[in-house]
Amino acid sequence: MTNLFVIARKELRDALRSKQILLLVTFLCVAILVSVWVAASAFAVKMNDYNTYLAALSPQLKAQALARPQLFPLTLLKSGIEYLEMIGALFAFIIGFTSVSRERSRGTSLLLLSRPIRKQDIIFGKILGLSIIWAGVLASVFITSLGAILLIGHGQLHLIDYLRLLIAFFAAGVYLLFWTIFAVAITSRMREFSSAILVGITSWLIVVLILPQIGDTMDPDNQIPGGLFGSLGIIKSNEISILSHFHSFDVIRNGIEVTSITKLFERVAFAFLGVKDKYNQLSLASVATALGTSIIAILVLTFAIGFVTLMISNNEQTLRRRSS
Amino acid sequence: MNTLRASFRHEIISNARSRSPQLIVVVFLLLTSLSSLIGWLTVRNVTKIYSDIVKLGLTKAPNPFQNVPPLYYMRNSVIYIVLVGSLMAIVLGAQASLRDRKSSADSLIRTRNVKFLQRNLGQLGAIGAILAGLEIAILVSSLGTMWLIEGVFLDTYSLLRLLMFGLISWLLMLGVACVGLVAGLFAKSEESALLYPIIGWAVITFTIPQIITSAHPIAFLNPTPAIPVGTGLVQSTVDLISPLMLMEHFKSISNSLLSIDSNIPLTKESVLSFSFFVLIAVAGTLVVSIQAFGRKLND
Repeated sequence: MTNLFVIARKELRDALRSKQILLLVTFLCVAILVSVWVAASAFAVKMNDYNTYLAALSPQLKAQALARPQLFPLTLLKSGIEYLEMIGALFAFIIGFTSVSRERSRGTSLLLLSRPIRKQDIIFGKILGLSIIWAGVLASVFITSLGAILLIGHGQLHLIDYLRLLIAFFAAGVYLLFWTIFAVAITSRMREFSSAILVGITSWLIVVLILPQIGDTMDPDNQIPGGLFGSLGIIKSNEISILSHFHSFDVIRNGIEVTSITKLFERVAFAFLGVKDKYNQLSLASVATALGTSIIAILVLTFAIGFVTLMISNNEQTLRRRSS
Repeated sequence: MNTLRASFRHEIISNARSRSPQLIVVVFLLLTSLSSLIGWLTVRNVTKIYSDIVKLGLTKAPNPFQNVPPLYYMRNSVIYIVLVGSLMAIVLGAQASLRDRKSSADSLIRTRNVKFLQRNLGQLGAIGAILAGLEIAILVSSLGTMWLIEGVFLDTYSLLRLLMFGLISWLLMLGVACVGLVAGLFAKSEESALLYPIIGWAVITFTIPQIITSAHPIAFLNPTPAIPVGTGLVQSTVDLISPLMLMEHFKSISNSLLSIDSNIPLTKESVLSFSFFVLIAVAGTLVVSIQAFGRKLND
């Protein structure tokens, strides 16, 4: 047990010394600040338009005016979550990759094996250390997000909003840990560092960008600005009835999307933050029930990659590899 | 001239032997070849949905996909070039300069009577030839798919536009490969030679366009370019950084060539920014690679 904590502590110390973590936190915090500012500015423009529209109405018509746009503060984080799912995952891979490549190039992995330490302790210690690193990174991003919503977006948050945000960030933690552990597995398994980077980056491209992009492209409502049904003036009930005839196409489209852990994480985070209209203002229990499968899938995938990493790391030959 | 030819041949042979970048090349070829099929399936599905809506008497509006130009089906290729093609180019470029540094062949080359400009031109020419070969493969497979879908060959006008699209895709990848090559010359380690340009790519593809257009990052996975809007930032700052929206400028030119969305005009700024990037990337790489040749890797 002590060995495990020693390895975790070393992982933390190495990460703190490296500029990568600082770069990651800075990038994500700046991206969150920029995206909240962009979203808040867009809302301000919308409010101005509404006020102009209201001012142009005669007093008699004001009673029948369109509803005032409403700001749901957590929705300001939509772009921030997208950054976490895309760039966060890339950084998560880099951090996992560096964690193994550093040991191999310095030869410390050989030193560890010469000591009476169980192989599982090495990998569990690493995963524990990396989990603490992610907790720290996400805590900084969480505080920045709160600050951005309150100070830049001028949003008001209630206790339930803090809970929603915490759940979304917990999901982000699991998602980013998935990518870090995946990087540990790939880098341990591959003989050359450049191959590990290439396999990792290609996987990142496919899972994070391409599969969701194909899914989005195949969505009939994404084909035309304003949506196909919106542009043809079709009401929601008719849209659902028409789409029921295209069930198989939608099953394939959805099937492509759910093979990506990124899309699963996005669905969970957007639902809890109320970015997706149909979940906005629903109770936490209702959202959790509706997204149950996605939540379970993210956890299962993360545990599965953890298990695979453990198997790879149990192979002493793999651990004994030096840099090449 | 011999140096140029030898360097060209060496680069081609080394790339053919190196197995690592082949995975990303395969993914790139597969996706771009499939893109026309995905586009066609989607258009067919939307047309069926539209027919159902008309049958139910719910609309009298024309089919939004009536008379789509044949090149429209290639719209997804644009985004695959931005995403996969660019990363593949970074990898090819970085590997080219790292190879000599890793094997210390640079020290050996310095002992010979080698004209560095010719050597670097040969190396860059070989990368360009590899990228051109891949681009030709994409165009041929897309032509085949469109022939299968439409049942007729493209007319001369569409064919010329397709070739132009191939040319600007090649130029983009060549420019990005130059960035990778320079990163490979200066980076202290193999990892950072690949990682730093990739991070730069992410910033140019997602963050800068977001500041300028207010669009969400996922919106940049669309093949059509995002339109710049006033965001409240000082307009001069926006004007200053908008040439850096390289991928959006590429999408803008592609949008015009493939007739994806005729409502989005091609601006002079997009053409100039794109051309300037390619020019600077190629010329800068030739100059810098002569100066920086022989730097040691410091793992």
